[in-house]
Amino acid sequence: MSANYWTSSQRNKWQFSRQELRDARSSVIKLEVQLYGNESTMKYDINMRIYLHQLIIKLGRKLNLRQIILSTAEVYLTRFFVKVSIREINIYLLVTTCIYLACKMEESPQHIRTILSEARNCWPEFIPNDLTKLAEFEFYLIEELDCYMVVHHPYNSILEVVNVLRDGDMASRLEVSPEELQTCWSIMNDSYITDLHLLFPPHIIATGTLYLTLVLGADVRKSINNIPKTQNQRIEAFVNFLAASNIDLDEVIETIQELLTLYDAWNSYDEMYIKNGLHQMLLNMNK
Amino acid sequence: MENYRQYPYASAGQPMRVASTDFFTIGPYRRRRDQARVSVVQKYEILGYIAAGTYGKVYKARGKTKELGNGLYAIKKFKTDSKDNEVTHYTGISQSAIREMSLCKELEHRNISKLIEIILERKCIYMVFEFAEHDLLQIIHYHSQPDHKQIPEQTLKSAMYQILEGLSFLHQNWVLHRDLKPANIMVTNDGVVKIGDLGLARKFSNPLQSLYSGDKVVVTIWYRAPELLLGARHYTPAIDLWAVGCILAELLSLRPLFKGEETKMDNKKQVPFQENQVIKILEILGTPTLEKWPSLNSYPEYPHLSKISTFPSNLKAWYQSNGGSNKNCLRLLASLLEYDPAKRIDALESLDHKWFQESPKPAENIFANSPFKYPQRKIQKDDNDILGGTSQTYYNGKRAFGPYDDPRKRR
Repeated sequence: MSANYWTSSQRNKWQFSRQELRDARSSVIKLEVQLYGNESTMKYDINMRIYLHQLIIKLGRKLNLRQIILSTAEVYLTRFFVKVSIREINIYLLVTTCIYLACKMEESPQHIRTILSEARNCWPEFIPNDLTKLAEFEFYLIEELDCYMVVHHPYNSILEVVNVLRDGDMASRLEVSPEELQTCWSIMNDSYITDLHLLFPPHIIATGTLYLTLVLGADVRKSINNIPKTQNQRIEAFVNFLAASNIDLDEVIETIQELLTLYDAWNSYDEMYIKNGLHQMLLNMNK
Repeated sequence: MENYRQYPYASAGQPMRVASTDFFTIGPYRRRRDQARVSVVQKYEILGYIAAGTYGKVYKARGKTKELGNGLYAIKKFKTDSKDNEVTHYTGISQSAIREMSLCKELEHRNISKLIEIILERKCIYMVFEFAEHDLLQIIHYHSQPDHKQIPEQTLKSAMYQILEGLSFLHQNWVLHRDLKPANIMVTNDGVVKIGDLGLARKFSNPLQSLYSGDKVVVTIWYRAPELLLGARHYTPAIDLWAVGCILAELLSLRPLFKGEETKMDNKKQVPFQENQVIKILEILGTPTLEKWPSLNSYPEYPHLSKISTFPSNLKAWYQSNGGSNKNCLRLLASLLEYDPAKRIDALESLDHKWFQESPKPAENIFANSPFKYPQRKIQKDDNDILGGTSQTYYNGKRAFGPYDDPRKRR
């Protein structure tokens, strides 16, 4: 349902097990081989996903959009690539389309001309000056999403967790500072690069994010290489809270690992490599 | 390279490359999808159309595949394309279509019109719903004929109960309907109420913009809550309960309770004060007072209201002159038509109302024990070409919201 994650289409139609996700991805790769043969340089891997994430942020900033719209757009993008190959479509137009649709879904509609012209400012070489192309892509995007467009995010879940922690009993009482909440927020924004939103409920992602923040402090991305060995009292309180809750700890641990993997990969992320590869690929598509 | 052209205003000394209009977008993907898609006409046999409006057209259809059985369906076709010289173009899907599609996909309840599937085909959107043979407007019309008398109490009470069950479900899911009226309350052959047409519905949890700024005209004016008429900026679920009160009164008297004349928007695009509609309400409910509605003077249109002469409350007399005698039914009506939205009864509360606990109790089938047999929904057989669907009829539809739901004029 639209207010409740547990009865939502997100849980019932767009959540996968790891195995299901692997199967879906290998079907897409089979499709690619059928279409273009084996010589593939560009892959839908974590580097590509960081690049796509940056594209969404770039257009979102130009349009002055709220973060939740961008997160919804990125969920659409991730769902789309469960079934479609990056080599079948123009990813710059796809990113634009996801944002266009997410604006409407999050009740902040932007005129199609505004979106198109900002997208052309960002990527003039790849966005044709033809709004029917964007409108056409919207149709196919919605069809691929099977018209399920309501998305549940962890942003509200984290506030609930923080409230419970503040009002908890002695062993699990914990005051989360506004700075820490801000860090959680930005880790959650990054989490859309990963498969987490296809795998786990929003409260799991929120919980994993909070754990990472408590352990690593404000500058998560810098400190992942020297994780402190000693547990402080606050982390103990959080662990007590987790133990007493019904939250699935295995899923929280998987979430934390996925995020650490992401930040690790980010350290060796090479934007120019992806950019040039994509440009070459799109030029070839036009031959 | 022919897909690029030189950009004439390149700045940094180097010529900039700009994508031409035939630059690669979704070619290979589109081919693959188009081949896999099953057409709406392969799945459904179109029997004719039920209604037409500026939004598009609703067709009656019979299922052709095994899964669809031999069942009846209502297919709502949205007009999403613009035509010039007989070539259709994609123009972007209207926000109301996006809302209706996304909400219908999430919501499932016995008293909400059930969505079977959505088909996107040839630049059009087809929403397939289960077919409902009747609606409350049609039932009201049937009873307004001279020899047909009132709607039986059990039918009326059961219909009200089921409307409130459906509405309570919507509100628990943070969805406002915003356009409840007899024509939007469907009833199936088995007497089950189905709230339909979520085209104006929207979520009210955590909206990014104030609900007012999105779209200024909602709810057919006769069913519009007083706080909206007074210029309220934020909607609450209470607006739907007001409309339910108007529907209850209409089922009792077989006439719209507050049949005001709509003041059209002037050239300055300012939303006008609906004075005539407000007077219709005052005539029956009396002039609202600050004592009973403390926030009254904070509404933008309050100055207009205070200029209208005062009326005494007349609801009880109205009720009795329309043949009403049950006290609890009148109490529920008065709680639904409570002026102050903060005091108005909510959907969950009204389901527990005394009226529903006394005999006759609400039934699963609103036609149970009723001697009446309502006619089938009329269909127009002159157009069953759902794919073509000539554009002419769209504009002659009676659902005349005028320019508001034509996306091209809104810009």
